[in-house]
Amino acid sequence: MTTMNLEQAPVRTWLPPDPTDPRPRFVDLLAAEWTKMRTVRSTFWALLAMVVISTALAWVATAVMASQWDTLSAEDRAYLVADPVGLIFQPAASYAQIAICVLAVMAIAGEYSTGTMRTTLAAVPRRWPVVAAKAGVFAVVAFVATEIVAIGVYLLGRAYLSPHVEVGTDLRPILGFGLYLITIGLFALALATVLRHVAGSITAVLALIIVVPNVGSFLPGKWGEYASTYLPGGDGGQMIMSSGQNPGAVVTPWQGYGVLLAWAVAALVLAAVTLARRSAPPSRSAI
Amino acid sequence: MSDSAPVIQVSQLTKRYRGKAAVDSLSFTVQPGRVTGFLGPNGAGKSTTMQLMLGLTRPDEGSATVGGRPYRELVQPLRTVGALLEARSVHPGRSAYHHLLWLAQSQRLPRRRVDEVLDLVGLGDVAHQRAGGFSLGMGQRLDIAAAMLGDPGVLLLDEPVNGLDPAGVRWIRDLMKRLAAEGRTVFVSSHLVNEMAVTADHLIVIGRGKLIADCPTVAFVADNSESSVLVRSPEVHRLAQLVVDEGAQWQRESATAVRIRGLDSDRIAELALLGRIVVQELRTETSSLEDVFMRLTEDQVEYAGKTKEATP
Repeated sequence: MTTMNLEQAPVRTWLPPDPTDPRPRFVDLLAAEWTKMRTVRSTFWALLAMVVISTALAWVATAVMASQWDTLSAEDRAYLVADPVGLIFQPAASYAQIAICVLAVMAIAGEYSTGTMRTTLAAVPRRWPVVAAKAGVFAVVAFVATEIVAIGVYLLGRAYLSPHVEVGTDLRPILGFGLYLITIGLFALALATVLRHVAGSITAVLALIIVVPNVGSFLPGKWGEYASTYLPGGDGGQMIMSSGQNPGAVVTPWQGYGVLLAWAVAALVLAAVTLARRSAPPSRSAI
Repeated sequence: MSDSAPVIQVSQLTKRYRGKAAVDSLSFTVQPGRVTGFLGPNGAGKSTTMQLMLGLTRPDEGSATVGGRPYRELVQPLRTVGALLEARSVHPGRSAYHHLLWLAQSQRLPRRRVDEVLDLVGLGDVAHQRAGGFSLGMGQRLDIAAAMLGDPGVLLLDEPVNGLDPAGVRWIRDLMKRLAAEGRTVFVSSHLVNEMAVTADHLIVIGRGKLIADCPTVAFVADNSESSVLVRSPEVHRLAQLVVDEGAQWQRESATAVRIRGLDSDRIAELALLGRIVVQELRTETSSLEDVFMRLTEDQVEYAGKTKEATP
């Protein structure tokens, strides 16, 4: 390790910053957050695992469906005919949403566990732009990765199922797959900003988007329907990646997605406000 | 604004945790061109004060400003203030280069600044290694590099020499002096009195969140240290009488030794000669800065061990 020899270097007088120096803009913060995301190995591996595993799951599921076609009940067959796209995407989405939520939680709660958040908040003392920039970078990265899955899964599913049903060529479900996943991911990112803890946030997010809508759907009468339709992670939000024709659908794809988006936006606003108001986690000696 | 580095102004700063004041109506200013030591026992509120200065924590009352503005209002904060926080603040999986790169991007600083500060702290060769594998000293250098990234006029360093080897301590000490010589405002906290005595030009001493002293280091030592003369002689009683006549106090140390306060050793030697008293030892003792500090903060130490029980 070489060290600058302090005695040898000449002392120069410090000069104040030139007031005409360019001021940082929001795009500079986006660049910084992009650097943060791409320079930890876990990002790449989490995304690769998401792409491989969700595609593999969809492959197996559609292959099984196609091979069992003749033994399906009339009810199941009617469902498949009404919404083949939804059934192609379902297995991939149920895994991918977990991977995407973990990635989202890591992007922000990971900063708390490593102490990087103190550096971040000292660099951006207004704070809320941090949430905005992180959400923006996450959304773009997650959308690209999930659309790779969406296209692969769609082509696979179509190849297996087209002998039996007509798989539509509508772009909405294919884009909807990515939209659903980044929106549920943004909800997770916002929650992690409030909870500031990796394991706690992952547990809370998975409970909220998987357990709660499932349990809720067993509620009697209308309540069960509301729970599965309007809670994040419920069937309503997933309508965006379906044909919209499945029996029992109570909202249109865009309505269902709108409700999910509203959840994500509300959570992000809460996250920005919480981050701006709260003290940064103190160093060990401060308490 | 003039060309001098920004002044730090802390006024009536107060922060309470669960009703207890960690920082209590603290007021002081930190001037450019010198190293200002921020001294206090552990738990005195030094780190909390620094977090308040950096806008990481909100004060309950009062304010801390840099060049007249609260930290939270700075548009390009790292261009004004560079900070080294005591706790770890680097992702262990990221390389030194990438840690500094995202920081530079967030401030819209040119990429070459990253290489410049890496060279400044001597981490150029390991720039692309993961920061998690760095030794304590290398980690400290990386934090210094981050603090220097924006070439700031103000440096806030929280316990920078903690856990460093002698070479590392020396390096940080020289760097701080040099930054102050360049005209910057250097504010460095420590609980090590002797470290501050050789590094700081000016001292701000706190205990239990309150200001105890704010003065030049030299004056702090002179004002607070007391010297006494230890005299060993077979005729200490006669000598003590002569000393009392001169208006000084004495205190018995042993059968043949007294400690004299209020007279210097020259005068005591003269008195002994005039009284024809044999003196076997004549020694001036000055209490160390450590002693001064201990005395000043005695009742300020938050978690002092109880040495005597209160009698009912």
